[in-house]
Amino acid sequence: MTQPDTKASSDNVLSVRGLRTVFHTDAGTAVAVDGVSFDLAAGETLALVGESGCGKSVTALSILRLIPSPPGEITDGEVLFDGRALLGLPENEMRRVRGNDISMIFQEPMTSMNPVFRVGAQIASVIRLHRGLGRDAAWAEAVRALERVNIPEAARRAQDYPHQLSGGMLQRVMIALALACGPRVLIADEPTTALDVTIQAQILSLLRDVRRDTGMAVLLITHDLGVVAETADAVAVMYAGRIVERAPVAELFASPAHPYTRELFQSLPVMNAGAARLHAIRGSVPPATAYPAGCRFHPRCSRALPVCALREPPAVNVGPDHTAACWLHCPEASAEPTAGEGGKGA
Amino acid sequence: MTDREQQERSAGYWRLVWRQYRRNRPALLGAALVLFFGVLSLAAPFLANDTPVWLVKGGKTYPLPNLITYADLQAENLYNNFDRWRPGPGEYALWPPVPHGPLRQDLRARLSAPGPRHWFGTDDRGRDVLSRIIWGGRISMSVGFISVGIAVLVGVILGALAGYYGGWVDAAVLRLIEIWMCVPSFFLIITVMALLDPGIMNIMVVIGLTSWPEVARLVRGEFLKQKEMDYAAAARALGLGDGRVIFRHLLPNAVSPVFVAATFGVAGAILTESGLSFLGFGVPPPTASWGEILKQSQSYVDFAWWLVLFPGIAIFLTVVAFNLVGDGLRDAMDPRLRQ
Amino acid sequence: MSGDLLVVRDLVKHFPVRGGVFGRAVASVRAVDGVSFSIPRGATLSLVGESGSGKTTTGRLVLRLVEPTAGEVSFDGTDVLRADKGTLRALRKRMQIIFQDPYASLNPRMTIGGMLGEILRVHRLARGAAVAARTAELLDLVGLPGAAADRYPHEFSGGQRQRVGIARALAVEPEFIIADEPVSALDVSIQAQILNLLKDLQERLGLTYLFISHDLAVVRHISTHVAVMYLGRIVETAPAADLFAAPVHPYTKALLAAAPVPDPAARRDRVVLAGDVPSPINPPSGCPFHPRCPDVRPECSQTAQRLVDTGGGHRAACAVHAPERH
Repeated sequence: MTQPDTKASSDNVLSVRGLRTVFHTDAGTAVAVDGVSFDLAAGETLALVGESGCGKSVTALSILRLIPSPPGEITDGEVLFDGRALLGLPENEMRRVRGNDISMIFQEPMTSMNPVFRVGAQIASVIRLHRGLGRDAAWAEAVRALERVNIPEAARRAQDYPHQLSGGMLQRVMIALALACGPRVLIADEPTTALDVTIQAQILSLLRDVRRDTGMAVLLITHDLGVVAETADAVAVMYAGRIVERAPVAELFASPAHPYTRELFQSLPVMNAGAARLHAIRGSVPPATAYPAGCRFHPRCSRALPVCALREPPAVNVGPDHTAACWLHCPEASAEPTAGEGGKGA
Repeated sequence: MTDREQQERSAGYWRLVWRQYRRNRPALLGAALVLFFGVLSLAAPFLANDTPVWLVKGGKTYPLPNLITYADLQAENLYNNFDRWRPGPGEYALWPPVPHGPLRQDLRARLSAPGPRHWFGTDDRGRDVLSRIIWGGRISMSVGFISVGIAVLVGVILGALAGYYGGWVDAAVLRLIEIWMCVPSFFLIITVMALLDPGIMNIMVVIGLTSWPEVARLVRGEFLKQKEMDYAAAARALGLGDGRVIFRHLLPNAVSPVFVAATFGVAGAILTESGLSFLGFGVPPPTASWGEILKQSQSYVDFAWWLVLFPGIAIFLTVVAFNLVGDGLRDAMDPRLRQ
Repeated sequence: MSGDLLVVRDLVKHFPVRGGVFGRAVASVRAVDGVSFSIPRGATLSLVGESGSGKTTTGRLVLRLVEPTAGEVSFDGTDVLRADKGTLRALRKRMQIIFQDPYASLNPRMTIGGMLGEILRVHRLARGAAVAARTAELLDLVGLPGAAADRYPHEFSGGQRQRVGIARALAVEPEFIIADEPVSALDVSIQAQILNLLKDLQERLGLTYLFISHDLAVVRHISTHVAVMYLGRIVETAPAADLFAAPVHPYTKALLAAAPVPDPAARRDRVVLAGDVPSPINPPSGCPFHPRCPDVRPECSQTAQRLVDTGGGHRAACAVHAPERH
């Protein structure tokens, strides 16, 4: 099996290796994340892209160990933050990491904040918890955090309750909250999906500015390839719990290697094109309790080989820093593949 | 859908609820107890009776004399004196497990403690307590179910109309509910019972008519939520009439909390009936009722512990059983708790 | 224009905001504030806008699921808003709607077959054994297997549920369908399937669509005409190709610029519109867009603009870019 090139581990602020998260349900064990590995370098924005059910959100929650423990369970893998293993940490130390070293923002700003506390108080409480400042100092810091995300009249806005703010403002508040303690990594789970398109543009622009100013690394979870093109440096495409392709953003859009990625691009309605018929990927996503044997995409793939139904493809280099888990790119596709784990991105 | 999914049987709402309910041990216990008491009440004529269940006498076979009055047995005045009759050769009587009727007095055995002849003892007229508890269960269960049935019927209709139409219909129903809830229900019931003839029908109707406001409020609340859903708009957009939309589309989705409230309501009705009987406003004597046994026990409480303990346990177990079922139903119906 | 299937004129809907002890109306949400458009037979008009634009409310007004405050809606010559119960019921067979949320738009307690069967029976479109046959036909039309009729909505995925919603709309054999954000809640690959299905059905059954969406790329693919809405008014309307090629109104331009394009080379050269999407309770005076408009002039806050023809069926309401000629 070809090992993909990895960056020197000292550059990577976050390293995920062989992460496996399952959910025990009535209908069986659902393997939501199955052997996911990737690296996030300092200052880089990596987009984890996929459709619903591919496991991208579960990956993000697993990194921060926010998976509800029955029915979920992280059964395998390791997560290294600056070389430190997170999965084995005792809970009180993990709490020091959350919000402090690694922060997360969520999709629905309206439900992600506590409705009975003022927004300034919520930010201030995080600051006091992790940075140990006194009440007044923490409040001043909270106001400053709101100013940094371009909220007009920050001192007044800090006194508002979440329901008094619009969706776009609340998302800014969430970002302020996430950044309040200067984290090295920001995990953004579909941060703009619930927002109007003009507000989305503002938030993406804000995220770019924040990255530039703080050198923070961002793990961006999204299903929107437009957002990926706008914001990401590198992209990892997920399907059915695995990473099927990983590449720098320009390279991925210019020459997608994995059939799923290619068909995904083909099914996008694009504004510049005429009103042609859209390419639709036939079939549907397999349930997490019953993945097909071999390559998980093969039942829907228009270019499947016989080996695709038998064995999981390994991750293969198809270009500069570009890997894809597909037998079509494997020179040994017709030969006996060596024993090894299935497709992973770098 | 995959082939596998097509082969599985379609899972309706109640099947899903049952799957979730099954996981809850206390709820299953509650359901078992409710079933037990239900069977007990239904089978009372076969469980505790002073008339045999099967009789072969004088060469003739009399099936179910406990239910059927046979003219020739009646002529021999046996129906009140079966305990004194002994089967002769070739004659045979199959007795129920508790061979005493609830009304059968045996003054020589008054206030006897539990023993081999009367397993739960006797009251001050010599009536077997176990038999009275079994038959008292009938009163409690029927009062429970029928009064709640009345409350649910009235409450669902009024709540649905109020929730769906809004405006003055809603205002009128809300005012009704508010007026009804201002009066403490138990005192209202006592007052009404004092004015009416005592009787089980009156009790059931009165309890039912004092409990409908809670049901109506629940249903109204659910309707307010459900009518905003897209499927309700779709039904209207398809030209379906109001009646159909209310009763065939919205109502099935709005009644889940009613089931939970109904189970708690049965428990409450049983308690209320026992309270009424205890105070003397319930079913008139000599009909057996748990509250009525308790009422009697007051005079003999210093030594006749069996007159207090057994009806008390019966009331306690039944109420707990219904509460467990209600809790279990509520958890099983909550979509967020589903795995 | 004769030959138009649907004509909407000056449609207005204000929702009262009640306050005080007696529930008097203290303010009103001006959800739809004077909307006019017409749709020719066989065309697809898309209403595009962000939240608060009034596009969803407009759709419901056209179908009279919500009673309007003022205005006219005429379907094939029949006045929809003043129709009596009988006429309205007949109209309901010709005008249908598909909803956005595949999870809330189907009754969770009815099987698919039960739901379709009820529609067929109530409208006397089939009876007895014919009901099952027609149900199977409808399911086949939207690409679902016949066995789906015995299942409940929760057993289906979002995309499949959306197909069921389409089958439901088709059951009454309508001529006109309002599609209210039908693909917004779906994944990209499923979105493509549903959009293709909608286009196929339009060709096969000769349907006319009013398509409501906030996703410009989707709108581009499905529409023949587009109307852009902002704060309850139409600010620009044009044939689809024209609108995307040469937008006139500053809001349309901002909207087109804000939509993220799946092309990394095209980034960081966009004008980001400042400010929040306004609330329709207190709309700005004059042109509702003027507080955020990059090309604003003093007269913009004075008078409300009307849609002015700029040629080729293209109309825009902007004093600066489409001034009224006196």
